[in-house]
Amino acid sequence: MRTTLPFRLENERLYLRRIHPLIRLIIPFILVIPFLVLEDFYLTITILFITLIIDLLLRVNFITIFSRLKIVIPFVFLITIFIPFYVGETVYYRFPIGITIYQEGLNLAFLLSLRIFGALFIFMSFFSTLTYSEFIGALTKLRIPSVLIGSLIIMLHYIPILASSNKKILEAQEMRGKKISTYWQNLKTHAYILGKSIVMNMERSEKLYESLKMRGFSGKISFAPIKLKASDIGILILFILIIVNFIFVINLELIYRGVFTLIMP
Amino acid sequence: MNYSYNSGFKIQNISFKLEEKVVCGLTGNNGSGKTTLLRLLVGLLKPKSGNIKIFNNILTRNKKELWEIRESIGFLFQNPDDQLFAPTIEEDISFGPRNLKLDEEEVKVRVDWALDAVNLSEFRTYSPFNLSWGQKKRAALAGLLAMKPKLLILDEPFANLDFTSIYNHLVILEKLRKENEITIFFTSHNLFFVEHWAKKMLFLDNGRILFDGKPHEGLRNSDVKQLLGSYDDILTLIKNR
Repeated sequence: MRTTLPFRLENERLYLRRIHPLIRLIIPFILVIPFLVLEDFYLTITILFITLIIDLLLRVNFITIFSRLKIVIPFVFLITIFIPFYVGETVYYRFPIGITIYQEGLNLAFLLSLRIFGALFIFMSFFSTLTYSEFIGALTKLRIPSVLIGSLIIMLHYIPILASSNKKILEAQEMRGKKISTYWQNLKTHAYILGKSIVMNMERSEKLYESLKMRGFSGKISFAPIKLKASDIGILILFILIIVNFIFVINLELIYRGVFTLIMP
Repeated sequence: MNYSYNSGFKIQNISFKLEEKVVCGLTGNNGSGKTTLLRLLVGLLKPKSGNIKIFNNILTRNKKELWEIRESIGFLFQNPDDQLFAPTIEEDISFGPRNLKLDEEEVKVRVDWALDAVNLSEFRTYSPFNLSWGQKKRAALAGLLAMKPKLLILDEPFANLDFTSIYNHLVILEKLRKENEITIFFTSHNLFFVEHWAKKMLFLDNGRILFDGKPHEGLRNSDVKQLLGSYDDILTLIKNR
């Protein structure tokens, strides 16, 4: 299996790709910042709900996104696990050994986890619609220095190459009995692979630099920017208006309570 | 011209002329210095002594002058992954023309032409990661062609390619050579290409030129034959197993 970067294929058809990549890069920030700044549970849920609807309507594979989110569970767990023991005054449960869990701390830990997962889910939903060139195009449009973009491109260029060559080395070693070797032998092998990867990486970077030099590289890589359309700006304004309405105009708590009463009278 | 690495390997007393618009094949055993010689020719390495003249200009270390010479040289690396870097094939091909400070319209014309020349027009928006080895090689070649070089230096252009890809590559290169009067200097271990495609052959051994002349004469040269071995030796070995 070929190792690839987590970008969409250039020839893949997706409704969301009609929107300018820069807008797709900005929208998640518009969605995430309000619920990270404002401590509003209902706003958080609403924004997540909107993202889920967008994913469903525009056929973004959110199941893959959820499966990728699993990776961050241990980190979120580590961040939030101790909060209920220190934050708050209302006792939720007291252990016989003297440790207390507070209600406010539990709420905060839950909200914090929801916010982290929610923010990641929104970012991944929108970023997963970008192709490699759209991602670079959006960064170019944001006027990120070309030196940084160039470095990023070269770094991204080598990730799949190095990953696949490492995989081949491991496979070749497996064929020569790596799996039956001892733990220390395994560790030594991995150290060799790491060393080899560093050398290979340096050699390849040097060659790439030489090939760029042959084509006139002077430290700057420039790309043709993709033009913004009026409809792209319109979509951006629409999202801003929706969020502003949710924060200042619509009483989300009232709506949720109403819906809840309707479902469970 | 002379060159030496810290490891001790030397390129010694190299001197040869290359006529314009011809195909020249450089061959030699592994470690004979072929790639080093190519890197010297394009100014990626500096000779310890002697000069290299390309189209009557001496290769210097002056960046501006070197770039002026390099504008007319296209150097194809053996591994296309060492060359393709941009998110799409189109962007990668336009990298060189943009560095030539051409306007965007001209860049587009050149990219279209180069893509068409290597039969990759339908892959223009593809990422290099999603191409096969042969397609990558063609895309890397297109990146050079878009700069309209007068001299193409190809390091093992047919290595790791199947027969169909080799045929397609040769068709492209021959068409380009005839239509654009390009000089081609290539390295290969495969003597078939040196014998049948090249008009001139250079045989390198341990950093020295052992033969410089017509390929059919070179392949009959006793020193060259002894060093290269032959298909007959391999065939005899297989038949006698």
